[in-house]
Amino acid sequence: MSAVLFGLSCLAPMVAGWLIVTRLWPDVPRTFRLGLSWMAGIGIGGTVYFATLSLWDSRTISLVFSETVLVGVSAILWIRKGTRTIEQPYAISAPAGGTLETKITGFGFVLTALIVAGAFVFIFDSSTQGGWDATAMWNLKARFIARSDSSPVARIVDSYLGDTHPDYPLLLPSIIARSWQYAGVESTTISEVIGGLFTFSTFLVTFCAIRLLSGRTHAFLLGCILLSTPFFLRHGVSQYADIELACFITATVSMFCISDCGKHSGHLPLLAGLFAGFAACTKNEGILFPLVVVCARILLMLIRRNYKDGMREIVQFGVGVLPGLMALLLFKVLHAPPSEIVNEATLGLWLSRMQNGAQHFTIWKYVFREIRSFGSWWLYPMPFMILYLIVSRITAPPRMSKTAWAMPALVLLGMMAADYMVYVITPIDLQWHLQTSLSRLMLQLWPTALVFYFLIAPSGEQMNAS
Amino acid sequence: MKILRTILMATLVLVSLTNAAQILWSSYHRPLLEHHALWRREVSVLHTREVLNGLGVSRIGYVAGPFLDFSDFENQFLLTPVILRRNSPDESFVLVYFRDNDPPVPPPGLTLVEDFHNGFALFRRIP
Repeated sequence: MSAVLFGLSCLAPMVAGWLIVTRLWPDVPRTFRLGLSWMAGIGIGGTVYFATLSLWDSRTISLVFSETVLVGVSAILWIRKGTRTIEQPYAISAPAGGTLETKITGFGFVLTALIVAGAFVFIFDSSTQGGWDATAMWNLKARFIARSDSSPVARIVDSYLGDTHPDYPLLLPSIIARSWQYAGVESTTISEVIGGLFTFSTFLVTFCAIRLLSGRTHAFLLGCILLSTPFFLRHGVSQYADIELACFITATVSMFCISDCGKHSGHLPLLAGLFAGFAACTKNEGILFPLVVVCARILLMLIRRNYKDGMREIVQFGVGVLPGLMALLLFKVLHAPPSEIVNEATLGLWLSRMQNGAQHFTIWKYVFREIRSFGSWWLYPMPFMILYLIVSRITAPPRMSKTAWAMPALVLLGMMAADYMVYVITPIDLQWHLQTSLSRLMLQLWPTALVFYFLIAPSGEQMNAS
Repeated sequence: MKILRTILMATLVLVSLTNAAQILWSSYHRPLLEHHALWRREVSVLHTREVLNGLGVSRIGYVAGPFLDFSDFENQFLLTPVILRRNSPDESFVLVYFRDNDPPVPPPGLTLVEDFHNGFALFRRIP
């Protein structure tokens, strides 16, 4: 019965998300729409729940309000179905029957997906309890929301719970608590299923973005690499918030990459803004993300000198980001204690730390160490990826121009720079901070890094097309 | 060069397949659907949670080992929505986590309300 009710809790977000994505991007391919719809719907439901929770501090009002908004949005979009859905085929297609490369990667992808699907059953089974942060932070906060008859947020930010990061935004706990309220049980299995759905959405969005921008061969290859990353799979069901953040970051970047190619109609920057707002509500690291995106878009606008279109995109992005930003502001202003990192950051401290060579050395030492061990792979694929990139670049026609890679490149640079600055000014023991967070920061950016990688390595289909 | 490209692509596919197989190999276990440790503890503290909720307070004192460890976070998770205020001197009720099922010895200034026989005992502060 609980499983049915949980399924029901996913229905309203899925329908609302489907209609929103269809309205903002009418010619979205169907598989892409599936991944985006779940993220948009659950993001809106969770954000409204989180915002009302910050305002009224009541789980019942939050649930009623979030469901009303989801149903209301669905009804309005359903009634005003102005734009007819015109599903476009993927832009770049392999020749009929497929090339040898497409056949190899396609076969490999299907086999990898089947093996990983089997492995995922066992990983899922062994992770129902969740990791340390799941028990000590995300599920704990969701329990405070779902179990407290009064003032759940006041309890979450209690001064004696300082070790549970009370300043973190509550999007994920809101999503979990909402599902628990529907299901009538506070099971960690539900948190795990939500994590699993976000993992699948991350894969789907990354796969479809590359399928659209670079072709089938590269999409299959990306699928092979992403699905065979043990750290990605295990973290997906660990009930941490990092995969959720990775999902929203990847979706935002993908929307801009597709928009930059200019092949699709719709309001993709608005959709990107929506996802960036959800990223800001997921974790403190995500708060920097909309700012990084805006900086990247301004820079690209200046480089490309397309001021009118560039400004229109930034305004659309700003409108999309608003719901997430409003929810975040309400929480931060009304409830959240100051962040331990921001609270102690002063210009003097920053300047002194910037001049501290030992601080930089330690950070870079851990970065290189983490690059070598990232992914928890048995066979490290990076050297082969670098070789493949070099050979692809050499064999590419000299005049092949592409602009889509600029956005993921700038976002990766911006996010890494922001994370680096946090490590520079951290009041926490630097080594402990790096040991406990660096791998997860890299995981948040891993799908975006793959999007970037497959956009700078020209595919056979692109070469044929050019 | 095109052949080299195809070979490298095939190598990447092979590496991915090997990694996927390794994930399956390392995660394989039987039997499936066994209850985990947290679930068993959840069942054991049902009555404790009921009693704490019946106290009519949102916060109680909490005393455990000398250092904060994962079991303290786990206890908070299990006993939510009551806030366990570690070593707080202000709360009238104090939950002590003894970690074993030996009969609890009342700490100074506290009187036993209930021993839950699951490692927890509830005390009231003597005015």
